[in-house]
Amino acid sequence: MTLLVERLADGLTNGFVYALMALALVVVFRASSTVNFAQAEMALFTTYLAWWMTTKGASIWLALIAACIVGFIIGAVTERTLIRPMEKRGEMPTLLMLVALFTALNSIDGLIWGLDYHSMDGLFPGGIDDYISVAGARLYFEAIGVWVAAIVLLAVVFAAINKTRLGLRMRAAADNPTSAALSGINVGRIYTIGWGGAAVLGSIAGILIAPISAQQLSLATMFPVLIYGSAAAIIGGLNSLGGAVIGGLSLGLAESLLTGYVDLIGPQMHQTTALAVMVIVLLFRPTGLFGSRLEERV
Amino acid sequence: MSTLEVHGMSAGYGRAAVIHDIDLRVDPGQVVVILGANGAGKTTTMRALSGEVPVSGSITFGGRSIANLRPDQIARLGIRAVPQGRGTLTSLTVRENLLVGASCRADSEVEADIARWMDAFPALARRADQPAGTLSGGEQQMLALARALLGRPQLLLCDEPSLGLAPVIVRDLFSFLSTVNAETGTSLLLVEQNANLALNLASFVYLLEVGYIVESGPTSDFVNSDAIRRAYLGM
Amino acid sequence: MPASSMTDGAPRTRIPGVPSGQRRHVAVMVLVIALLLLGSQAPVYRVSQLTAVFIFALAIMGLNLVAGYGGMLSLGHSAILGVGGYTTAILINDARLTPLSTIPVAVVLGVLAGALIGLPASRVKGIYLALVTLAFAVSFPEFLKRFDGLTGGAGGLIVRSRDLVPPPWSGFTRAERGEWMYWLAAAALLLGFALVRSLTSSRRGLAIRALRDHEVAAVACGVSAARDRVTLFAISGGITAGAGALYAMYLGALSPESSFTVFTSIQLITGLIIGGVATSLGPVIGGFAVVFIPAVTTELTNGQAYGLVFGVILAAVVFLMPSGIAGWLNGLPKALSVHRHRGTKHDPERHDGG
Repeated sequence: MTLLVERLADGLTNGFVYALMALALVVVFRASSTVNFAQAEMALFTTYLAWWMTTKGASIWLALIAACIVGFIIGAVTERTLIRPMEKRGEMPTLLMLVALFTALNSIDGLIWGLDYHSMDGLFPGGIDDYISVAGARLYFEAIGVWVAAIVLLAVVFAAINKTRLGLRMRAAADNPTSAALSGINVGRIYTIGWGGAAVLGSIAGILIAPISAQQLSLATMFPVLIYGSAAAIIGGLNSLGGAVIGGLSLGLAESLLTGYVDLIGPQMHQTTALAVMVIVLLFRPTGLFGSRLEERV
Repeated sequence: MSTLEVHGMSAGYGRAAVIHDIDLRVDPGQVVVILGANGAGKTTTMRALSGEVPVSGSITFGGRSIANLRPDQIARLGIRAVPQGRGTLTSLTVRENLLVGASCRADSEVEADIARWMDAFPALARRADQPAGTLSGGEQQMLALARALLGRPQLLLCDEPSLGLAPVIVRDLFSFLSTVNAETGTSLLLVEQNANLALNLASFVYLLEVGYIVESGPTSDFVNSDAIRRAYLGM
Repeated sequence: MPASSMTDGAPRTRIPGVPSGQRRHVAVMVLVIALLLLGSQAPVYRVSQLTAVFIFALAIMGLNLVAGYGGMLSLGHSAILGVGGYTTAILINDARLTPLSTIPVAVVLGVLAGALIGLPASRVKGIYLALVTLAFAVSFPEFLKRFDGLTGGAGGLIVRSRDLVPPPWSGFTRAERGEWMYWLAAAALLLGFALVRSLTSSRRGLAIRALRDHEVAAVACGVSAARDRVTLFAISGGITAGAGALYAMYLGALSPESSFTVFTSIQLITGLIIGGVATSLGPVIGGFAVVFIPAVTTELTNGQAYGLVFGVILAAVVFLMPSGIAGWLNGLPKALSVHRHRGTKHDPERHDGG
């Protein structure tokens, strides 16, 4: 029972982070009909930046804000300079651009910050005694903090998309770009904002996961999050915001329970498990569990 | 109110021009119709005016050049297009579709305008909170019109509003357009195959044939000209 | 599905018996052999680098079938390369087979792996397919670690160099393993080149290109999209796995993290894009790029920079030279001779009709 609660808690913590990454991927997909392979590397860069600021004495919250601002700029500039020029040339050149950005960003991180693993302070108290006991299991404040932060963030994102004028424009631009433009919406600017916003989500996900990741903060911290995030986004349906969250949470929980209880999978096959689920969903229900039919944009 | 003036406009897709050297003019409050057979270039003309197709030549609106501006820039200057195919934002609700039409407005009368057009189209009011994709074709045409009107345009471009609609709905639609024109002073530029209805509404006519304007004049000239009616309108 | 089904009864577009064409063929062959002889006389480390070039060129040639001619971006070819490499290493170490005799096995397993990765291609396209292939690339190192009894896990495998000596009939001595690998890789590359050439100029090859460019029209003309895509992946897998087998023999050591991660796939893709997608020479140029870009950047910086250099070059080529170096070279004579038609040549790299 204790073990079960701990595994559920672990799964939930990871699941929330995957959900944020999946949400970022969905926001980008709805804007540009592509999967941002570089999403996690953008987040890794800003997470390194935040860590570096804390080593210089800045508070982690200040570092978080700086990471979000830099993240927004990276996302927006990427859309404007790398992605939009490829719009007319189709999916493959767009993907190649993102693959290029993926490897370039990772390499830049390595050049600036080196190959070492760094332990990073979290946003929440992470001491050995900072926990509450539930059914004998220890729920650390670090984990609970991640849940709360993610829930608040998700609530803000959904409110912004569903209740604000900007959100309405984003939904309009995603639904029918031509019609949105004819209604006076600058669709290009909306896409730029979408990419920027997605990178902010990624940055926050990075700063939440790095302090508790087994990889700590290193060049390999965020890539698994991309894998789980894209699997979650596909499972939920690439254009469904709600689906991304449900996909992320269920993947986090399933990962924790399956690898905990099924021997064949064991500790080495985490990502394979998530990806296998993704491939199966893609093959049998290409629009995911909650996605709508994807129309090819002409 | 502004006048639309077009001189020597050519436009097309890729290399090949579809329309050539078009001159046309729409005065404030005027209703103008472009008639022509299938493939004459009517839709291309409309898309050129709304900024969806690159053009050469001069287009001015209220004295300001709008040639090759982006569609959203043209829309914000007061020209709204009701595209062929209606451009429904299918995953948004009917109400949200209307809000999208008003998304560039900062004034406080948006809600009043929404109420006004919903009054005019009770079908939209009844289904205000349903996804717009569930509306019928006629209802979506009404929605497209109302969405465009929520931008409070000075000039409304309507591309074949009657396409695919039942005759009774088409009659309603044209009487509505006539009311809008009379009440708000919005100028209308229509493209139509259904010449009869269009001629009742319009005060000035252009005839488009394989990409060229071949004839133009006040509607009365056309109504009384059997030869032209036969030649171009097949009546 | 047998690989031969793509070549069965397919007429070559080149008509035999045309003297000028034949003379050109002979001239090209003589040139190639001369260049190879020249290369073999280079210093030992250069010969070794060239061997790596040939091996990567062969791997990229496999990728080119799928990504270039088929228009399907595969991020999974690192796994296929790994299947070939590990097959050879395991068979040499555990089954005591001679290196050469493991190659056919590696190729067959590569065909199977390619077909497996390509199976989803019959149902999903574009970014979805890229994600599926990415899944294979990411899973492969995890599989290696999971089944560490066979693969050596994270530590990898080492093939002892006395198991890699050239066969006696080759005339190469034990000390001449470098030259032996050079000629072996060169021969494999030429074989791959000929195979891809005959495939792509066959009627089936045309059908596959039609599928890439205009799927709806091609299917309407009776091209089976699903079957052709899987077949293409299978043949591609065979070629790339062959390269993997040579890679194992060349290096004598394999490990999951160093050679068979997504980054290897990205390297292969970058090489292909630089060389030129859907061109027959592109992979060879790509092989040079993949080997020499890291070599040069490591000399210049501390070694971390080559991912950045790869990324920048990849983006620049996609932006500025979408048909790659080979495509650019192909266009050169036309551009030089036909000045009048400047600007009428449109982007040869189009995808999905946009």
